[in-house]
Amino acid sequence: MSRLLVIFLFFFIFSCSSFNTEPKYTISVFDKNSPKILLMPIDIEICELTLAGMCEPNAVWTKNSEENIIISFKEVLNRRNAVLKKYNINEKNDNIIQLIKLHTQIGQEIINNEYGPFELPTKKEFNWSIGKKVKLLKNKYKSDYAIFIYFRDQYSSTERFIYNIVTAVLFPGIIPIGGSQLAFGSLVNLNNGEITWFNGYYRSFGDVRDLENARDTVNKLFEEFPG
Amino acid sequence: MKKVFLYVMIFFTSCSTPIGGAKKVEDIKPQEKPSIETTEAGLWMQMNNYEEKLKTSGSRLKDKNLEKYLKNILCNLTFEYCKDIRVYVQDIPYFNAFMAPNGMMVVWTGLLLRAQNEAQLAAVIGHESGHYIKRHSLKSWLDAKARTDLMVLLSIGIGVGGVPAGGNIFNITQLLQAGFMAKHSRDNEREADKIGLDFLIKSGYDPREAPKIWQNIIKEMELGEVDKPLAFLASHPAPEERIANLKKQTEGYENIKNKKNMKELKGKIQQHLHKWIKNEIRLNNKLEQTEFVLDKTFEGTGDEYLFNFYRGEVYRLKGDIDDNYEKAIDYYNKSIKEKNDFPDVYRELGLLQLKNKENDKAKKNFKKYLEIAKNPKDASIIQSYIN
Repeated sequence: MSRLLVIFLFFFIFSCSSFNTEPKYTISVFDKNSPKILLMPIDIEICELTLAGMCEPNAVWTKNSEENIIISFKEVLNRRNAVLKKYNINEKNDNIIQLIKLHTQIGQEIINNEYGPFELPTKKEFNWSIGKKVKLLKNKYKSDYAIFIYFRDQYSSTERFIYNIVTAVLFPGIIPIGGSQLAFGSLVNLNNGEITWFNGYYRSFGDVRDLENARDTVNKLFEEFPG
Repeated sequence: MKKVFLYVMIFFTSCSTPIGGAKKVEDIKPQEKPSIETTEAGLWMQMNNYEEKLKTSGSRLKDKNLEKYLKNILCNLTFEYCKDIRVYVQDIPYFNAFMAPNGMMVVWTGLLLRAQNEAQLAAVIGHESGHYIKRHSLKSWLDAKARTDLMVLLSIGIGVGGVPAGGNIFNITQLLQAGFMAKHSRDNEREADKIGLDFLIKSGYDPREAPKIWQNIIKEMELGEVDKPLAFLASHPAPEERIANLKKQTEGYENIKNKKNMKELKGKIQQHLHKWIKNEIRLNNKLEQTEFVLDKTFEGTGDEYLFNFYRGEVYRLKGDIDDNYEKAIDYYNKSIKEKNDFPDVYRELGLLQLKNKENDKAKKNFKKYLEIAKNPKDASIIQSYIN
């Protein structure tokens, strides 16, 4: 029995697949000293996988994770001599809300096209944009860049975790899915809407619910951030 | 090995939600918000995000007045919950309405087209409000969680113990699962129906209109030979049973003359009617089904000319097969007989005659169109046909 468990654990650890993407960028240093960077509302949802694998959204985890990501990102900017500007969460301007939706869509497309299976055969350069309407943000928040962050994360419930082990022991070959993390962030030039830097990853480990781990995750995502 | 399995089973059954536990969920109180550590707060969070996106979605009908009108109906029905429920109209030409756990109610334009009067619409709005008050989304979620957990345990159990008949273990458990879910969902619908009807009666609407909207949709499905139930009906009680229930509950009100407010509803949707009917026709359903929808849309409105015009449109848009164009022209002529100053019919009639190479007749109708239409956008194109 114990031998079986050892084999299983070995298998479990090495089956944790992940891919970290290489950042894509058009700038490696900011075009001015101490640029002002506007942090857009983070598009985040954290859920708990039930025994059967349903994804139950968790409001506490989401709130904590969001706060942790903001703190960690502020630290990233401090080290790079950039200034964080806060977005007004009660923003009612429909055009600005559309920009956030557009970024999510384009971010998914970048992942599909630049890293994923749907590479565009004729698109060789990294030249993505969310359009000139970003000037609305530049004028309203007096910022040079905006950072958009998208975050989805799942954590197994205790039942799910044990089920994973039991299934692997009883039915070798069937691997129920554990939690996985999908994140991406992009830096948008508010003069022209161009995405000047982008990074994302998909992996089955990492945690943002506590500040220490969130720091690691955010540092990893913004490892090669300009500045 | 079996011993380990037993321990695992004991662990699972002790920590997962007991089946039927969801029934203990109480009604939501007016202005109540779930506290953040609950499952319900998670569902609300997700739907709040969805709602933010829906607000600026291209599929949302840009008609604040119509949404306000629906909200007024809602507030008259469910006074205490007026602040808690927001109503959005989505421009999708199917019969559907739904309620999210956080108070976001969405009504599709296909339903607004089919509701014959305000009482029928109020029946739907009241029904959806019932889902909110009874916290049906939360109940369904908790129930689905418990059922799927059970399914997993059964799968392990059957997988270890073996299935005597040698069948596929997932088929058996999924079948059980589907049965449970459907029954649960039907119970919720019955409950919402009852609440909706109570609201309807209290607010002075004719309760006998409630079963009518369902009767119409069933008839329509039969005519369209729709195998799959429409989205709204997929998880609902068998329509026949639902109608019988609703009729039974309205028996005591036979002699009360309550309001239907047909004119109000028709007035509010007037400006969209043309586009909605066009979209309905473009679904390319069976002819009988589309004609039935038109028949019900114009029933009692006295707008015979529009009814005939759109019947003509149905045949025109079906294309030049059989004698569709001849039939379309017949209906257009009938429309003109009813009312001789409706511009659109002259344009469509002219365009069909142009295709049939009846140039003189076509020109005459184009001229009439330009004469009575007030600065139409296509004036210069139509003028070019005349020249």
